[in-house]
Amino acid sequence: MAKLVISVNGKQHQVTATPDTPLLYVLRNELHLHGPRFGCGLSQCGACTVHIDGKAVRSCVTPVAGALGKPVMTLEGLGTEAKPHPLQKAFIDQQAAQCGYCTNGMIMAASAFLEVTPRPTEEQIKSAMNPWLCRCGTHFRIVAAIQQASKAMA
Amino acid sequence: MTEITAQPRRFDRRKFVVGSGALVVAIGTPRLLDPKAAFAKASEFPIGQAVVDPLQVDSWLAIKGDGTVVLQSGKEELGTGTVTTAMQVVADELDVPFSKVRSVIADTWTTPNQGVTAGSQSSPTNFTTQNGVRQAAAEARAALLNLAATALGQPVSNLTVKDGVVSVKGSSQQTTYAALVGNKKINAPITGKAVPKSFFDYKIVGTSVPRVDIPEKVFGKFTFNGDIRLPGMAYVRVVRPPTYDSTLVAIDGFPHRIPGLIKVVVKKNWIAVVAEREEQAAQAAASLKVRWNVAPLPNFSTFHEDLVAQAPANTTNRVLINTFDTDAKLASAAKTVTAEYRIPIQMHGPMGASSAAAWVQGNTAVVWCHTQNVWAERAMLSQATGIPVQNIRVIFVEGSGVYGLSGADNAGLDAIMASQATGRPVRIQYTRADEHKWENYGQPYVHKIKGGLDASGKIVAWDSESFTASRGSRPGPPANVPSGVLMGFPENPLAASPAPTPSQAPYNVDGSNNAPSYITGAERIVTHTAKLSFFHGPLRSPNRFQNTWAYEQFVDELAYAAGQDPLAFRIAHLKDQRLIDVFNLAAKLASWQPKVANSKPGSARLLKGRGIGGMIYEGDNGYNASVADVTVDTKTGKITVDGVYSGQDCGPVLNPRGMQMQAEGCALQAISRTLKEELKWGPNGVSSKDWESYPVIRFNELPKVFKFQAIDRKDADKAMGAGEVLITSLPPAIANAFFDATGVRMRSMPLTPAKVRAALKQAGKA
Repeated sequence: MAKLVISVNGKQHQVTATPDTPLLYVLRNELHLHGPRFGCGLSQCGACTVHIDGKAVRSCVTPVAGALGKPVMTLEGLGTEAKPHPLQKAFIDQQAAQCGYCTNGMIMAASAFLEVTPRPTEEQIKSAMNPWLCRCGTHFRIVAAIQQASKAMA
Repeated sequence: MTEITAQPRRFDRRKFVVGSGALVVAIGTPRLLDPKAAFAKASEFPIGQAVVDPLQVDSWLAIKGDGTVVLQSGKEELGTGTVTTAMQVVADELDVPFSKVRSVIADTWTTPNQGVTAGSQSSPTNFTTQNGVRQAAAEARAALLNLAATALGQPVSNLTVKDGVVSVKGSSQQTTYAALVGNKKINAPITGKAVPKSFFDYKIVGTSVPRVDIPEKVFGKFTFNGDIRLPGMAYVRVVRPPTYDSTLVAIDGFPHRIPGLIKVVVKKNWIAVVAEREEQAAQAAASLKVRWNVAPLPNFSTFHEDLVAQAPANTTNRVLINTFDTDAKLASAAKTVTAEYRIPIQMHGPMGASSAAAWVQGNTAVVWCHTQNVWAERAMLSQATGIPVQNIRVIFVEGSGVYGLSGADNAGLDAIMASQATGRPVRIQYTRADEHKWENYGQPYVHKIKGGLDASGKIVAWDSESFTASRGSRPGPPANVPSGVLMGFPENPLAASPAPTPSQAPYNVDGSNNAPSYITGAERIVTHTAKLSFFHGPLRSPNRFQNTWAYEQFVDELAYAAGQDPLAFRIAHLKDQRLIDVFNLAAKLASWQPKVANSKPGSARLLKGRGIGGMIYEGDNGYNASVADVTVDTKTGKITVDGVYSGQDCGPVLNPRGMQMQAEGCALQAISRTLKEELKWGPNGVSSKDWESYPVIRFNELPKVFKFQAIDRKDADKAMGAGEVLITSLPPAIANAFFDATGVRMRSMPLTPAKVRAALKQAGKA
């Protein structure tokens, strides 16, 4: 067990963990964050997605050591009710959640995607989001929310 | 209970106090999931005679000092929006703004027992019955107006309410709900005499009020079940045998020391590991060496044939309908059609593997669980632990969407047993494989149907025999869920076959869509239920999904045999006008062009087709008809659903967008189940252990067109469930569209590319 310093949502945190501990457990159990979620632990569903260095990363299979010295951002850091990220506003406007368990991954994936592809076509959105799973069947609304956010960010 | 490998760590009182200060489990929640009330120190948990009297207004609604109205909902939010809808009727009945309504959800300590949140029954219960929220809110309004009348010295007929302010007509005299009873009890019984407003008079019910839980979910502030933290909490993982009935031979321990391990808990064939940290519990579960005596699973490749072979000796046999003239009518029919349909075992597969938290202290316990029925869960946990039922408090905290009996109830049982064995508050998290391999799956089915037509193409007989399997169920005896069986609790035996109760009214006899919706002349409906290895439980549209898959294809086959357009043929055999109306609505949305299916067969590689399906859900709980457009790639066997057009009638529309969201979810789950989903296994275990081995729909498989419309029947006497109707009608529409495209019937779900290629090849079409 080591004392590690990680930067999450713009703040430095000292955490106690072995370096191979999945980042997801550190974020949830040590930092008490509720955004990133445990879905599969296998990098298959994307519910655990966070940004490391601005890139969408599956935190369930990323050791905490992989985040040392790099900025980590979670859904909590993306925006707040007072200052929502355009995607967060769009997900509310479009009601793009049923159970909402995949929502974290959808927003974190889409926000990284829109940074690289700010004006995507519908097909580009579907292709980019294909590795993220939703079981409730909210896909139409998620696509619409990403389109709305893309326009708002233009 | 055997306990081995104990490495107890002393409970640090100081840490407890520090820890409890950090018990931030719900920040600024609009749903009043009050962290202090729900997650304070164990000694502060109110546990005792937790009986919430459903005949008291105070059990349902509370007025806070600031005029906020709190709905104590016995129905849960499972991602369908049902609690938001219940809050809408509270606002409307009490004449308060929606923004002033909050909710507390399903807690055996605080909310009335509304039973299970399932079966598309929340809207009927809350809006139609006298045991629901609409009636309770009307009673509250009546009681509050009586109090206001006394306070203001005016008859009730002289009072009006707006935004929680009660005013005397034509006067400046007024009071408020808050002034009358803020933070106090209303002290009024549910009389059954208060008359709710009409659906025509509602201003908030019937509008697309946004879901109250979504903002917290998009800001990462929502407290899901897996976010619960308790002071001094330990983490639990389970170690499962290869198959359900395998028995434990020996535990050989760990290949190396597991830091933080607290205990390996064993009860017969059930094993859980408890550790200080989550990653330690995960490491322990992954590395524990266990030897099992493996009880093999049924043969995968002959599963459906073997299921049929169980009947009638090893099955519960039910004759649901018998008009006693079916054989004669079939014998004299101008044409007969025979077909067999199959449904595989499919899973709920919640996106979040199930979790639960539990805290057993002596003879009391609190459990946080995403069961669909906190009261039944509590009874099951009491049986399993020996803790008196009144000493257990079960609090619903939302997990991911479940669509029926996922691993949630089982996780609650695992958690309480691990806490009881260790004396520690615990949280369990299933791995993906724990969830995929150990849930109560949807039921497999075989239908064998024979039908007869007369010379004019009229149905004269319908003879259906179905074969399914069942083991376990929703919480009742602990062995209804897999962990209970592993722990050695006794299972309910296969139900005895009831004496046949012949019916002369062949029409939706049992609420499970076992009878076709059509006028058939003669009818015989027989079902057989076997008990095999797999655990089963309700999966979205249980039985109705399977029965409709068979019946709505079979009626299409009869239409084809009669040389008629599938829609016209259906309507000619229907008597329920509301069902006819949704068929016509779906046809209108799709611009349906009447023709005999596959009457213009194509020869290109890509073939297009269109099909329809529909039903009355449970015979009285929602009408839906859906048209599907498909493209079949005859070379690869891939089916693409291009369009879905769906008409629905669930009585009054309570929240149009909420209904639309349920329809969208139904459509995409229907496509997923119809084209992709099938549990796979070998003799030594289930191989569908993750999303690679059990694929579900993804973004690149969305239909390009989705048109949905509901008939809003504000004058209907009953609000109906909207969460299971479209998923029931669409799968056979897809199969019928495949036939229209190719002239080949695919009667066995799922319609995977490999099966499509094989079917086309066998028919000489590829």
